[in-house]
Amino acid sequence: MSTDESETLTSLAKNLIALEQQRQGPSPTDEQRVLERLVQTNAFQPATAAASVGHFGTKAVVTKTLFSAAVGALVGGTAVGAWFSGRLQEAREEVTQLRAALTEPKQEKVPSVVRTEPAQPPTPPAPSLPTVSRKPHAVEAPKPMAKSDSLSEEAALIEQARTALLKNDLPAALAALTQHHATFPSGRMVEERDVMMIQVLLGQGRDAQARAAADRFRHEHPSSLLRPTLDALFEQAP
Amino acid sequence: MGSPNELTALYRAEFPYVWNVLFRLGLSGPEREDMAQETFAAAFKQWSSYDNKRPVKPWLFGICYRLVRDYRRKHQHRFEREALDEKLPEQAPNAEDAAVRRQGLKMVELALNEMDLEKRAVFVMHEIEGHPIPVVAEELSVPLNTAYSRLRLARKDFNQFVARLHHSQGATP
Repeated sequence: MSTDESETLTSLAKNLIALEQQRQGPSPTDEQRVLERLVQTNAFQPATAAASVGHFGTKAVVTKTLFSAAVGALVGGTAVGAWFSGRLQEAREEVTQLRAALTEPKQEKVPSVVRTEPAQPPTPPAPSLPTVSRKPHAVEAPKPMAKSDSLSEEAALIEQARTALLKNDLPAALAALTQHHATFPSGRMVEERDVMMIQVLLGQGRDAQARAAADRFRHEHPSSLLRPTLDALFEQAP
Repeated sequence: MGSPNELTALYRAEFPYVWNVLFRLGLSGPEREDMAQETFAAAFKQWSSYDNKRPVKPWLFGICYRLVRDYRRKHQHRFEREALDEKLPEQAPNAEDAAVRRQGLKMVELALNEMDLEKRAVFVMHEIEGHPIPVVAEELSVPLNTAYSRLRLARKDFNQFVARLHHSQGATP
């Protein structure tokens, strides 16, 4: 074996390399942003769910719900892991329901796959906003979005924010909520988003902005089922 | 394709490594984010056939390297050397440690930018990431002697460049 290493590094070079080896890594926001892009381009999509369901829209719902559950179980502590284990079971039940739904023609309503709050009053259908990869370097060509995809995309972002808040990871929560706001400005989970955004503001110590946002929320959603949740946030705050 | 659990675990464990490797190969900003996404998308596709005995980090480095190489070929004009027109951060005589660190990191960045990508990849992979040269040669798909030769040339370049910077700018890392 040739070991032509006659050129050795100077002490200056070695010191600099030691410094470089301690370079700060990515921020949680960087990590979350790339993760979201991978989810959006279906990079996590396992072949098993695709084969068993056989409908691209439904497949995405199932896959991303399972994926979200997997993410939670991996990144969370015991409480979060347990919460997501429950969600995983729910997701499995959703698969069964969705399969049944596919056998009924022209079934318009897609079950909510993520919402954990009590059922909301009927809301008008969300506008069919396109959900696209933000960058041109998508590894796989984005598939056309059905309504169920939009809902699962929304739900995935809300889940990411919820998981981040459980971990008190405010930058990651903010990134997911910002992404939701940009992609689904009038989505079906706007109330959840707004309440979590207020929670982020409180976490950042921006109490005045949090209270202003809460007042706006109460005005815009006077009968929201999330009002008790919202009120509790301010009762907990010092 | 692995299960979502496996892929998520891979992502969580290795994202910081991939992120820093891409920077050390010369990418920053949106380009780094694009390549991080592409690296994991490619890794996920290959994961089901991945040999578990093979160390993960060098394998990911190989994916990063090939993606960066292809990207640079397409966008050659962006990677033309900027030589010494980029200045080191100012350092006051009584600079704090943080300022010295920043200056040192900038010197490494500038020195790496002086190397062509082939030498740079070997240097980063071996000297900074600490992978043995036989592993470097395998993951970069080059003969062993070629890897050693690139390492020698890269060390020479790095020594010379940081010495020049050190003398011309009065840096004290």
